[in-house]
This record gives sequence, C-alpha cells and structure tokens, in this order.
Amino acid sequence: MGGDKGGAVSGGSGDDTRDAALSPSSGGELGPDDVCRRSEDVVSREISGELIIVPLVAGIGDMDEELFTLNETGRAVWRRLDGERTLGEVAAELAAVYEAGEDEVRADVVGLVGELVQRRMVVVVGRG
Amino acid sequence: MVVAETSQYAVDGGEVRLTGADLAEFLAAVLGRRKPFRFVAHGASMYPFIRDGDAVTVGPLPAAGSLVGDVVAFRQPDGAGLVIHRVVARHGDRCLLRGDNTVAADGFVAESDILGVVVAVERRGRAVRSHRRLGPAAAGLSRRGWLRPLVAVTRRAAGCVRRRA
Repeated sequence: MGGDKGGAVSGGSGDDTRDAALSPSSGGELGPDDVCRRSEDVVSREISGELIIVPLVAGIGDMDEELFTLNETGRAVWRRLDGERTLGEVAAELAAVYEAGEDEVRADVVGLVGELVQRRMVVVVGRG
Repeated sequence: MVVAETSQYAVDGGEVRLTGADLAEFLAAVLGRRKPFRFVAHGASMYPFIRDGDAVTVGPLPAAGSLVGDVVAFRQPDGAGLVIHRVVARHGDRCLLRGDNTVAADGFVAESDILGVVVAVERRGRAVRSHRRLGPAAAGLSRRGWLRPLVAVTRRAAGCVRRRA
C-alpha cells in the first residue's frame, strides 16, 4: 500500500478538471472571475464544529497523511465552492454576511482558494 | 479489534481528536467513493493477524460473495464506534462476527452496518500477508476459537523446522 503513495492525485474527477486545477482559467493566478468547486478527491465532514478534510491521496483516504481543517470563515467559503458561483460572488456574499469590506474579503477568498487549488482540494472549472 | 477509542490525527498546524464513530463516518464516506481507506487500528481482538498499531486498509464490499471468512469493518449497532472482526457465519442479510482472539462472538450484525472489507494490513511499514491466507476456512476456525491456538502451533512448528534446517 505504501508503494502506491505518491505526490500525484488520482481518481475522482476527470483529467480535464485536474488540468484546470493546475492552471487557473486565466492561465496565471487565480482571480475573482474564476469558478471553483470542491475536488472529488477529498472527503470532508464537520465534527465538533470543525470542518475536517481528508484528501484522497493517490486514490486512497489515508489517516496517516496530513488532514486539513478550516475555521469558520474558511468553512463558509468551502460550502460556497459549488462550481457555479465565481470567487467574486462568493466574496460578495461573505462580505454581506460578515459586514466586511468586499475588496478585503475578495483578497482573502482568492488567497484561500488559491491555496486549496495548490493542494488539489479545489478545482477550477471555468470563468464567470 | 475495537477502534472506537478517540485518537489524535495530524492536521495542518496541530492535531485533531477523532472518535471511532467519527472514523466510521470518514470510512463510509471514502468507501462511498469506491476508494480504500487506511488507518491505524487499536486493540488485540484480532491477534495475531492484526495487532495493536497495525495500519489496516479497508476496501469497498465486493459486489457479490458471502463475506464469510473475511475480516470486515463494521459500525457497532449502538453507533458507538468502529470494529474490525471476522465474519464467521451468515444468515440471510445478517452476519455473525467474532474477533479471532475473543472468547465470544459479537452477535449478528446487519449487513448494512458492515462498511468494508480489510484488504491489506501493514506492520511497521511492511505488508502482512497472512491475514487472508486461510480464506473461508478461517471462519470455522475463528468461530470455534481455534484460530489463534492453531496459528501459534503452526508458527512454533515452522520455527522448529527452520532451526533444524
């Protein structure tokens, strides 16, 4: 089993979305016009108020690998990554919910989602 | 092999505590994607095939087959946690489960509470091959409580043969 492990993510979504995850639709950095969704290669559950994400590394859910957690605002972003809203729309919703400046929230959302894309927990599916 | 104890797992920048019931949640979710799930098991009820601290990989249930003789992961009926034991008999859609190293069977468990089948066991990073070698015969031996003594005798005999050679 250990021999199956590697850096590449396999299974789940098709090659098209995996390629998209490696290079956002803009061809460069992730932006507010990008539309993202949660990867098929993760399993997440809310436990005791925390969202815990288990990546399916190399096609296996492995509790020996590092798990990930998201705080409350991270969870709010995560729930909205449905493959339909742009990141800008997600930011606008959250800015309204948290009564915060939209520019600041947009930067935070793009930063967080960019990190999740790099970790292959989120894939970019298009541009709004 | 009761794995219901709360265990620590590494997360980004710290640790998180998950109970056996939480682990069952993740196991069911991963197997629902038809992917295997690997975690460290605790307890001695499946000794010697699975030992405390062994990493077990649980795969999705096969589409067909009785499961008798297989080592499976199942949700305790009271929802308390996750257990890995052997299917020693089957009546309809209910399976009789027992640990190879326990004095009594767990009782019948609904097939719907059986989440997956153990497909690999690793000890100190190396694969343990023996857990499936006996196949369905293991069910009868385990049901009578003979499996652990038989394995002990077999290993002792194998040791004698090696020493003579």
